[in-house]
Parts: sequence; C-alpha cells; structure tokens
Amino acid sequence: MLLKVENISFIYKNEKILEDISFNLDKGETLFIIGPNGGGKTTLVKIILSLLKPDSGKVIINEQSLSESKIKIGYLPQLISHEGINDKIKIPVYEIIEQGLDNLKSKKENKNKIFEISKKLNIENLIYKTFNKLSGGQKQRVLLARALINNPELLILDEPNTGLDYLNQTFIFDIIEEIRKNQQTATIIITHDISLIPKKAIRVACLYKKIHIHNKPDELLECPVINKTMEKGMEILLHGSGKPHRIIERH
Amino acid sequence: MEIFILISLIISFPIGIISFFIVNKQIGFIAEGIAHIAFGGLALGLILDISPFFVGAIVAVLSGLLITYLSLKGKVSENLFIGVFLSFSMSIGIILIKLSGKYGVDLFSYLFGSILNITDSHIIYIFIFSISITVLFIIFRKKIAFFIFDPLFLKIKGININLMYYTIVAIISISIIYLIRIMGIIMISGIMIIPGLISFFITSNYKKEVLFSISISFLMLISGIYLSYIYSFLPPGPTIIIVGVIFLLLSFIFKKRK
Repeated sequence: MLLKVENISFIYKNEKILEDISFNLDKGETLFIIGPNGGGKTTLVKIILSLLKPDSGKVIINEQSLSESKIKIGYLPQLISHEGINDKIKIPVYEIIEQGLDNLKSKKENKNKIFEISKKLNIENLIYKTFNKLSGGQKQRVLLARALINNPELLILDEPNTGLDYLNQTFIFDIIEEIRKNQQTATIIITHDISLIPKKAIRVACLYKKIHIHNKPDELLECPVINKTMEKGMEILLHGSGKPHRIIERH
Repeated sequence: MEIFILISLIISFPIGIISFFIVNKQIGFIAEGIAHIAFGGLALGLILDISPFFVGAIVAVLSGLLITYLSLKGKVSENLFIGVFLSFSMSIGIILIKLSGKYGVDLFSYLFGSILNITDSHIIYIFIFSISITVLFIIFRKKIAFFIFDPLFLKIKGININLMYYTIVAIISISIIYLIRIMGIIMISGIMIIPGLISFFITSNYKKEVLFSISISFLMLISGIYLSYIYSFLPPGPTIIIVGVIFLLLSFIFKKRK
C-alpha cells in the first residue's frame, strides 16, 4: 500500500475539523474527495503533505513517515485561493516548472524535461513568459507541469478545475488520467464539483469532518453527507451512464 | 567626492537587493519599523557608552526576529506588530535619552543621518557586509524568488521556510543599522522601498528587477549627494529621497504609458 491514512483527527480553535479519517491508496489508484467548503479537504491535504500536524492519527507512506519515505510527490494548489502564491513577482514559467525537479541534473537534461512536459500540457509557447501575465487556465497548466515534471509517485490535486472552462477541465483530467495509467501514479483529486467525477472512477470519498468512502460513484446517492457537498437547491441525478451529475432544480 | 561615489556604489547592492525583496514580499513597513525600533538600542548604547550601532544592531535583529515570530505564530501581518514595537522602542529610547541628559548632536545625526558621518572603519564594515549580501543573493536568488512566489511549495520540498524568513529579516535589520548613519532613521524607509518599487513598475522579469533596483538606488544616492555637494543648503539624506520620489513618479507615468 502506497499511502495509509490512519485515524486522523484535527482540532482547530476547539472545533473538530477532521474526525477519525482513515483510508488507503495504492499505486495507480485514484481517489476523488468531494466535500463542501470548510469540510476539511485542504486540511487533510496539508496533513498528508506534513504541512500540518494532526492531533491524533498518522500518515504512512510505503510503511514509513513522509520524510523517511523520500517519495516523489506532485502537488497542485487551488487556483483561486492559491494559498501562499504571490504572483506579483515576475518569475518566468521555465523557472517555475524547473522548481518541481527534485534532483537538478545537467542544464541540458533539465531543459529537455521542461520542454517535454510543457509540450504535453500545451504550454511550450509560454515557457519564457512570466507567470503573472498568464490567464487562469494557463497558470493552472503551468502549476500542473511543475507537479508532474518529477514523475511523482503520489499526486495531490486540490480543486484542479476551479476557475477553468470546460475545455481546460477536460484537457487537464485527460492528462492526469494518462499519467496515472502510464506511471501508476497514486492520485488524490479534491473537488467540490460532483459532476467532475468520471463514470469509471472507482473510489469516491465524501468528506465533511468524517470521511465516507464509496467504491462506485452511484453509491454517492446514499452517502449521509452528500447534501452538505452541494449548494442549496441542488440535487444529484445519475446519467444513464452511471455518472453523477448535479442539477439546479428538478423540473 | 570620489569617496562618496564609491560608498554609494557599495551600498547600492544591499539596498537594491533588499528593496526588491521588501517590495515583492510587500513588507514595506519593515524598514521604517526596524529603524525606529533600533532607536531604543542606539539610545541604550549612548547611555552605556558602548558602541550605539552595536547595541542598535542587537536590538534591531532581536526585534526583527521577535516580530517575525509573533506574526508567524499569530498568523497576522508583520505590519501590525511592527507598529506596536516601533512606538514601544521609540518611547524607551526617548525616556533613556531624557534620563541620561544626552540630547544633542549625536541623536540628531541618528534621526537624519549624513553620508559625511562615515568613518574609514565604517566603510570597511559596509564593504564586507555589501559583498556578503550580494554573494548570498547570487547563490540563493532562485530560492529567494520562490520563497516570495510560493513558500508552501518550498516547505513541501523539505526547506525550512521559517528559518529562511528569520535569516532574511536578520539581514534586513543589520542592513538598516548600517544605513542609519547615512540615511537616518526618518529617511530610511524611502531608500529601502523606492528603488524596488521603481524597478517593479518598469521591468518584466525578477532578475532584471534586481539589477534595476541596484542601479536606481545608486542613481538616487549619487544624484542626491551631487546636488547637495553643489547646493550646500541641501542636506544629502532628504535630497536623495526627493530625487527618488521624482524618479518614482516618472516610472509610474512610464508604466501607465506602456
């Protein structure tokens, strides 16, 4: 098992943000985590990345702690909040993608890798522009390139679809799926948009303080916290294909 | 005049680099705050008859680190704690100086500074310090740029970003102490912000921004000193700042036209 999250609880200002969270993730598996804003999704990501210490429980990677495991992690932060990202500083896209490389090799080797991933994400024409000049969709692709360049074994994407149009969303999800297949990357995708979950998604988790894991998207309909993941007045329907969708009101 | 050109050139490097950091990290209040906080230390040094700059440097570095610690722990902007410590340290300084009865020329020179105050030993210290900051920046320029851009990612990569921030604040605090003798407590925030802000407006890449910031601080210093050399009624510190503000307004017009 690549990732084991065991009985994680997290309390902030006397409020339980996460309560007894446990799940596993193996190589090549994808886990979608859906939940409302304030449901603890980003807190859980920060705990997995060792940016926050849980009040109880532990995260085990390859039977070790994160620092001991030396695992290659790719992380894509949220586009809208872009917590911690200050895009006023004019950094070229090339250097941002280069930052994702763990072991800096020769300049030529790095350059080849940067161009290879840029080509895949269709951003090779942006490579010498500065990040602050890009559109939301372009920024998301650049940050995804930084997350993917190191061939991560564990990929964590926090709301990868936020602020993107349909074409950008599909493009990004296709790339992630291709990488998962080819490199057997274990992937966690955090989203509040249930309609993003593909039909073939095997595991979906609803997170609202507690976690409820479902092995098929259509089990979501019976999830006790699913209504909390949607805005008021919305309802989930399944397509004939079995893919969940949200609708605004039933006619 | 040659010696002033040399001093201006030497101090342009730390000023330009730090100004770039302060502007991009948006912590403009820090130069103002630390200079005022150092005032308490300078006063203590005067009373104890220990080098005021030595005591001032210790107080400035400790206060800078304490402010950073409190703002990181309290998850609030540094500016709030700087505001508190600025008044606190100035108050202590004024009380100490009043008690000692050492009001006079020394204190006035700390408040307003003058490039004429510089001694040979001070030039050597400034030279060593400027070279050290420049070399450190050249080595760590990418890490520093990414610390401004996305510190969380550096943290995920296993870099101790808090230690990095404390080190940078300590370096800024020491630079401010060295510059107080030239620029004075009142004028220091101008010289620490204007070069970075102008280059922020007119450049398109952070590396060019640093080079421009260094060049602009040199231009500001040399123009201000030259004007006060020709027109003896103009004191150097305030003239440097007035020249800088004119440059800033011009750069703003240039940016709008772009």
